[in-house]
Amino acid sequence: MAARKKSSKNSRAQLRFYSRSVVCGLCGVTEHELALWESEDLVAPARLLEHGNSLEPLYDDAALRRIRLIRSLADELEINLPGIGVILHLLEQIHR
Amino acid sequence: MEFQDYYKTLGVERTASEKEIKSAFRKLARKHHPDVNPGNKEAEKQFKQINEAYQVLSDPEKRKKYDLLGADWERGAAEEELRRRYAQQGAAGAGPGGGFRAAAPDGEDFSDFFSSFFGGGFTGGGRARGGYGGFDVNDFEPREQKAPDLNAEVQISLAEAAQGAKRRLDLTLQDDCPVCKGAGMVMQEERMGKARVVRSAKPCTNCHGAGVVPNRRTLEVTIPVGTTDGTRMRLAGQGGRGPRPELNGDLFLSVHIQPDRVFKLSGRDLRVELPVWDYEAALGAEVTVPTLGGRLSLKIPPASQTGRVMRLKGKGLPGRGKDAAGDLLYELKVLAPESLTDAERNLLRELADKQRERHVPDPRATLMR
Repeated sequence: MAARKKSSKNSRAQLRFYSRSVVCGLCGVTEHELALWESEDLVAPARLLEHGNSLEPLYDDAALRRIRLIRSLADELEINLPGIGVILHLLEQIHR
Repeated sequence: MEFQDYYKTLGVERTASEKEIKSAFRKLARKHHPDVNPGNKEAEKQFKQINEAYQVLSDPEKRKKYDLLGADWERGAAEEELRRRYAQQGAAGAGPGGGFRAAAPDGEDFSDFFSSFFGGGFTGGGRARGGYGGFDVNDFEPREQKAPDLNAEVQISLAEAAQGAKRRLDLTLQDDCPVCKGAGMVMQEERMGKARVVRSAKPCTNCHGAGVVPNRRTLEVTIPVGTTDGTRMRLAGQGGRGPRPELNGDLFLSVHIQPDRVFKLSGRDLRVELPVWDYEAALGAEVTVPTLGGRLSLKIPPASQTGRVMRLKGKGLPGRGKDAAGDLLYELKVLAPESLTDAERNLLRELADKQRERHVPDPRATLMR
């Protein structure tokens, strides 16, 4: 029973998405910075929501954590974007 | 590049074992290897496809994901279309190069399935950098950690240690704000099917964006009977607040017993310095003595000296669990009368004469070697 409850909670958590402006507010980054990181392939939206002809990028909790990590690396450690790319890659390898 | 059926590429059944896949790959790889077919572009292309298919199917995890998507081909295709369009228009303000490219480090294009699941960013959930072999959303999932433990001290009297005590503890903790759950922002969610989309987030008015609120808690603690000095009590779950109740920290309470005027505590034993008059010590007496539970009558044997210890077994601090109760020890301290009448002085002189007459040994003889 408890296990079922937990798994349903987890699946709910995974289905929460944030709009771009909310992500910027929550992570303390500007939309311009976020766009730059996306252009550098450091982060990407989890889903794209269709509104007529346009698509709205939506981010999940994992993306939020990744953005916060990038922000810390950039602001606190003053690492440039290629450096952050390398660090994220190494982290992925460690975690794998 | 279109989605390709990796099973078809390797010419194996969907139920093929790892061994079969490996053998099929080796066979095809030998046939289409660029060294075997120099200058043959078609063979080179096929060789790449075989390699890609083998990379996915030889890895049980990747194969599982591929099998899942294979059953949902329509969705994959629809998402591919969305991804293409997003790449064309760019994200809102995405700037040059907006959208999400998926390319191998050496510039080779992988097919869309491969990119989006193992190298690209669209359906992978946050992984953007192509060609680095994927990003599992759970990789950066911070492990839910237990909230920190707290330490507190409490002073009790000896009587409380013997009888048990109750204490009210006022604790001020920084708890996650109950309104925003520690986020510092209040999010307004919009339901979209099974998903919820947060489109606005305002600073939480309860915690003013701090995410934490001071939480004053009053805790009633029962200190059990027989608690010794320095006991560390663990109050499970009463420390820092974790994300879930089972991850709450513990509160460790150090119990100190205040020094007592009469009883000196040593472990569970209690020691009392018991003054007795010289005649009580010499003749023996029954004296009233203090204990933790009241008064008792104690027999002093005749000819007791200073330093003699009388033990009342089990009358020290009460036992707890495996520890037996301590003893109550009375250490005699023989006192000479401070004020004497002439008659009393004469009696004492008489006693001294009698002692000398019967050659009672000199008490200082051992000092004069």
